[in-house]
Amino acid sequence: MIDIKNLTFSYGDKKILKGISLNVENSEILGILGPNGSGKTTLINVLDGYLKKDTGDIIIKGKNIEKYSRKELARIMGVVPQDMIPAFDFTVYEIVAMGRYPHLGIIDPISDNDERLIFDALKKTGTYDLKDKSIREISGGERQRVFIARAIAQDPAIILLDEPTSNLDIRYQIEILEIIEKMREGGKTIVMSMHDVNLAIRYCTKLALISDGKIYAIGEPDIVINEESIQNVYGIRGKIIRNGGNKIAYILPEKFNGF
Amino acid sequence: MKKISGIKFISISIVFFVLAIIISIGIGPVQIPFLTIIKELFDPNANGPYHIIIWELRLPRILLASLVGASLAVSGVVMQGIFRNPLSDPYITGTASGAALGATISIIAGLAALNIYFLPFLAFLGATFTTILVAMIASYSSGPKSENMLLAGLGISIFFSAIVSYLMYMNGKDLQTVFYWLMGSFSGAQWNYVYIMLIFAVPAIIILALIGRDIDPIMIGEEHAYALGINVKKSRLLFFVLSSLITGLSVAFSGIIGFVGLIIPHIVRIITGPNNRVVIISSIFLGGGYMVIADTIARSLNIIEELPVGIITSLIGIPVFLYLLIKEKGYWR
Repeated sequence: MIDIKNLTFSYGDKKILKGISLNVENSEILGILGPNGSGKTTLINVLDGYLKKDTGDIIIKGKNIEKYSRKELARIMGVVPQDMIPAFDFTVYEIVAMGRYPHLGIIDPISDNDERLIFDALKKTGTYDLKDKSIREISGGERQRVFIARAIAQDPAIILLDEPTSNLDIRYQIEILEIIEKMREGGKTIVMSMHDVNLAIRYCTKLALISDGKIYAIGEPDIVINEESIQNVYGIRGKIIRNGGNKIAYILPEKFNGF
Repeated sequence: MKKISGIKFISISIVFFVLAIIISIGIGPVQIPFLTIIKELFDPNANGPYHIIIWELRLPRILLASLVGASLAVSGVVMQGIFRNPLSDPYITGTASGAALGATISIIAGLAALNIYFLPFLAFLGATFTTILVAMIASYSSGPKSENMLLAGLGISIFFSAIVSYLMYMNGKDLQTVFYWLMGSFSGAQWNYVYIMLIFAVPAIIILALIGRDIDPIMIGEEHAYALGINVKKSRLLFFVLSSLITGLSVAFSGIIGFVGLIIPHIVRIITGPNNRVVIISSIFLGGGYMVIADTIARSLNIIEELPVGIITSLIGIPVFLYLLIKEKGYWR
């Protein structure tokens, strides 16, 4: 579904991505993990074309990303950017309706079918009752669900999410991740950057551990996450607690004592 | 404040617009009764004693004012939206300073006195020149971010304003003429100006109303707009060029009129919410109607001589705006 080869990107002289290669199969949830500043968000932004890569290839559904028009790409790839409060009082319905824009001609009105998909997305994310509220007067967890609803209404094969659970309390984090899991079950391919290693292990089918703009390890969570990789990438010692079988349940970090 | 639905507010604005035009036709040194106005306007055979006053004196001026008001208000909506900046107005990208330079040169060089079309022509040339300059600087600066364009416009505005000030300072005898033009007025209105607005500004306004929906995602954030399939840089440039065109024409025919382009969009957004198609369509009629009323006051007050309309637009409008701003706390951010 997504094939990335030797991707590099720099801000001015500062190299952020130093040759990333990875691929994502159909109906996978790829979690991108790594410390702050390792290039997670940049990778998401380069992947959706918002930032222009320096070198390397991004192949989406067998076609180079540069061969897609902006609108074509938006029909197969939805993005949920990092949470922020919009400056304007758009209603929740208006925000989710924007998910249909890539499918509409520039002056086409919202059709009945679009309307159905919008309501569907609102219901799937539990935001239907908020539809007439301003995006500015709902909570952070609700806001995140609204932007996910917009990506669902957009109806793309791939959805990229940039730290969808940051700044949310544990209940909202689980809620969001279960919505994402349901999208995968519905056949979507998901790529998301994450901070929380434990939640990533639990919900992602595949993890990419990024360190200093390069991939340190990629594969199944149980293989990628171990005491050594945590130490090498995050610079902390952690104890891995296994739950039944051999599945990782939790990483228990030791006290840092580093300074 | 409870928001009013888009359709409802658009309807209210249209009624306001039509009433403003019809009522202002009747007001002036000669008062014309309402029924006579209706008869003169809609009966092709009517040729009463007021025929010439209505068709030759008042109507061109009123229509020009309404078209300029609509243009400035729409241009303000677009500029505030694409730059996500509440302080943006139609002149933010340097159009006004370019037009002012063209107009000042035509007055000082004596061209304006030779032929009435020289001043608007040079003013429009100045506006177009600045627009192209700003767009070029912005397209050379990298990335889809809006700040560069805004700053380029600001820089050019200040630069041209300095030249205008210098020219005014060096040519004291023309000071009042230039100053009066800078304040804005419709006293030179002609049918030909109206026709030019109808041919160039009205289609641009219609296009902006139709494609205005694309501004919605840009207002949420450039990253969001991009994710929704909008090529932000290209789209912003198109909006920029169209709204600069209608601003340039407005400035050429009426000078630099403040308030309407800055404040009408805010008033509409406070009432209806930020949905750009609704805000643009409402602003066409509210801005047009408001300008007609302001100009009617400007031409009928007759203190010494006719007042520049820009003074009226601000004096009446700002208290209304401040009232709404206080009532609707935290409307922008």
